[in-house]
Amino acid sequence: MAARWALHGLVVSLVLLLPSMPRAQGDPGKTVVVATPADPQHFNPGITTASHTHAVADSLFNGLVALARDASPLPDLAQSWAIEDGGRVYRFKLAGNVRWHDGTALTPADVAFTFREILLKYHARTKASLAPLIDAIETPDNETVVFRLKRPYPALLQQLDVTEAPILPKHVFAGTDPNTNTANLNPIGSGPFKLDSYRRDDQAVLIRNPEYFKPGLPRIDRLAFRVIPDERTATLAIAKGEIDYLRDISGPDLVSLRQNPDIVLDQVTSGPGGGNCIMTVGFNLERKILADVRVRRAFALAVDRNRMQRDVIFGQGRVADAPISSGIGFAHASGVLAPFKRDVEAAKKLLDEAGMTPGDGGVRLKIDMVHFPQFSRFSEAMRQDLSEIGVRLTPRPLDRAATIDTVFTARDFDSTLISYCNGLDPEIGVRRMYVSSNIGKVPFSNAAAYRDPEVDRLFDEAATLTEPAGRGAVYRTIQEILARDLPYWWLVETDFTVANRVGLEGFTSWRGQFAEQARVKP
Amino acid sequence: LRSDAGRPGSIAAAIRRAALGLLTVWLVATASFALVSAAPGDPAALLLGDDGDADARARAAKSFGLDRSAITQYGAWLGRLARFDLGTSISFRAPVTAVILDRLPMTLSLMLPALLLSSLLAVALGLRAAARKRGGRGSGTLVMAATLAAIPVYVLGQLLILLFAVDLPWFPLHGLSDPRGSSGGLDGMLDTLRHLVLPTATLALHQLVVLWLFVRARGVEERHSDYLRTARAKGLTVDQAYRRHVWPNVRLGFLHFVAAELGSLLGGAVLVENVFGIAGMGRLVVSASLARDIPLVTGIFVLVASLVVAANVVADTVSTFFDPRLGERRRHAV
Repeated sequence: MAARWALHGLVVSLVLLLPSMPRAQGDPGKTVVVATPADPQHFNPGITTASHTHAVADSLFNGLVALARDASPLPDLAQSWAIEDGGRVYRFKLAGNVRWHDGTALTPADVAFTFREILLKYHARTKASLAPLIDAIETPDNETVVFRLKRPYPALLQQLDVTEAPILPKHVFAGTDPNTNTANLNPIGSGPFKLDSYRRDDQAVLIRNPEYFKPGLPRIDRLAFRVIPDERTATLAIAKGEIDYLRDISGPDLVSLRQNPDIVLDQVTSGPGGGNCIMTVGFNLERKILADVRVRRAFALAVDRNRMQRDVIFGQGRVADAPISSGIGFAHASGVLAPFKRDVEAAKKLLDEAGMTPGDGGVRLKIDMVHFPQFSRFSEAMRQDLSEIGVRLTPRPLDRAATIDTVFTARDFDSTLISYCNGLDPEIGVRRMYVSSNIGKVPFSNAAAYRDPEVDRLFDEAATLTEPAGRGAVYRTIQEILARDLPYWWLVETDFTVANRVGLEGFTSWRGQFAEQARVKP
Repeated sequence: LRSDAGRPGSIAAAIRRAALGLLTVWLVATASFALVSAAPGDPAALLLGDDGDADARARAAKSFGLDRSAITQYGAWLGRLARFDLGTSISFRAPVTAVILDRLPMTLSLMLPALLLSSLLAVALGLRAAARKRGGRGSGTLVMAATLAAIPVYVLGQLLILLFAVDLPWFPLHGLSDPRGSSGGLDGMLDTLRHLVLPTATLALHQLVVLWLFVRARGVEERHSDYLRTARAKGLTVDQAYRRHVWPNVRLGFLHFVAAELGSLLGGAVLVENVFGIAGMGRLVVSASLARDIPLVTGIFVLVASLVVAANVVADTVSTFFDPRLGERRRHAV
């Protein structure tokens, strides 16, 4: 407290001494202001996959590895690693000089504790992909961590960056309930920045960690996150210079930012909430009207995905040409969805065959679509397309909590619209959508309630294979079955567009920890 | 003894008023608890983020006592409320009281200046308008006021943003402070004031119309009263007569009207906060509801209901000082 008053005093005297000092638009090298659409709520990236928490907290922590733009692993806390026993053993050598923000040394024990007690219990994505896989985590000496796996697993390194596997301090979390530990609000990390101040729903200010273990980093003094829920306001704010960095820009705002010479845009496929996302329609297969595959095919043939790619996402992404994202190259069955070219007459014919003939006002079929409010432009485009084949689509935008409840618990919907993020391996974000064991009250599980014993078996088989080519062949078979059954309709692969003011560079926007290397352009 | 405290009837009235107040607060709290609990959505599942997992969800639910039945939760919550403990916010993982007290100053620093500004202007302009009113035809000002009253406060806010933050870049768009500036000292204070200008103006302008119409209407009612004619005969100008003789008659009603308007002012503040990104109670209500944060939502409602009840009790009490008739009764009672 005394220190804070002293600081205030210093600031006041500086202001009095330098009355002509320029304000508000000050030196961006000192502070980079970032817009974030929702309050972080806490700063523990290990107990949640919420993007609003990770957007801020990932800059306070580190993973064992960092990921390059092409998802290849780079050293982070681990300065090197070796893969042994045909991919069953991963041996990491930690950087020797890493200290937590409170001065304690970071050791292999922190890594082992974080995985055992936090990530494999509380981090839903990492738990799903790694818990069935990890046999043991050993710490043979003071700089080595060894992961022993039950079977060879090629995608492990991609799941060890700060978003998927942030390393937390054992001395702070051991023996506590990580959900209620007060360190969630007063984080002790190892990352390039430390938390300086936090006002809920307003701003969180991070300052440079002078003891950071990577020499010369970070290159900016302060990283301030301002909570701006309204996309339009955030766009105006970056155009005006009130903020320096903005992600998740919606289509219409993109047009104005592209023409602004003060703004630099970058397009990435991942971020603090995961990556390789596909905007997907889920058909409730438990509803009689959608149980007939001909109705789902008619839906798919009627929707104009090219127009959606152009007019809804404004080119931020691609029309999906397979159920698995093109970002997972070895598993992506390119062209599997190519036969579904838009064909209104064929769609009508399918509906005729299914016995859905035009009734009052030409309406053959009425279906609703439950989704988050921010996806309304997608459902509106589909409503127009489907009206051409006599299908009356009624969008039902609900807030996040109600959408999850309606779709996954109450199952009171005909169709839903979900952004399913595939991640870097089908085990992370693809399997959960299709296997019959994952139908139930879990958010973002198998929304369609799709059951196919062959698909279940193939997913299990793919998980035991190690060679990407062999796995890819199994995933192609799966995707061919999915394209036949259409439990979902895959609309567009969505990228994220990130904007920053000219004069700044070095953002790694595909990572949750995006500002470690950011700097003012020399 | 000049105080009423010695009279049994008055004590009974005071007790009845307090009991009614408590009952109101309890009813509001219970209704908000029931509403948030019944709303579709699971606060524990939301804590997990963008993915789901049954075990992790169960752990989160247990950490925040959400694994118990709604009735048990309500009982525990009532028990804590009796000890003035509002519990722990689920989404912010901090005590509800601390979360609310963090935010209350922001809302008050928006509401109080807006209330003061709009009241002073409403009285000055309202009396003037009443004094100047001629015949039965509606004036241009009245049409303007009606138009302004018809604009929702959030539209008004966005209009002001477009005019004075975008087209004319005089004021900031969003929030309460610029993180590039210093947060403390005079500089920080000036920065916050600069951020508060547009939101305060929006709220004041919105409130002004309603208050102005009230003062004007009451003033017009007094036009043909005998005392006003006497005052004019004494040689006072119209404006002087309204200020000195009509205002004391309008004052009490105005006070009650303002107290009754506090609720709508708060409602306006909630909207203004969301338009201008001010982290006050209004933003808090929205984020707490979206997170289905039962302890936080009910905590806010308990507090707001208490404040509104308290404001009305204060208005009742203060009015005895302003109303000569109530004062008469008190003197006779002694």
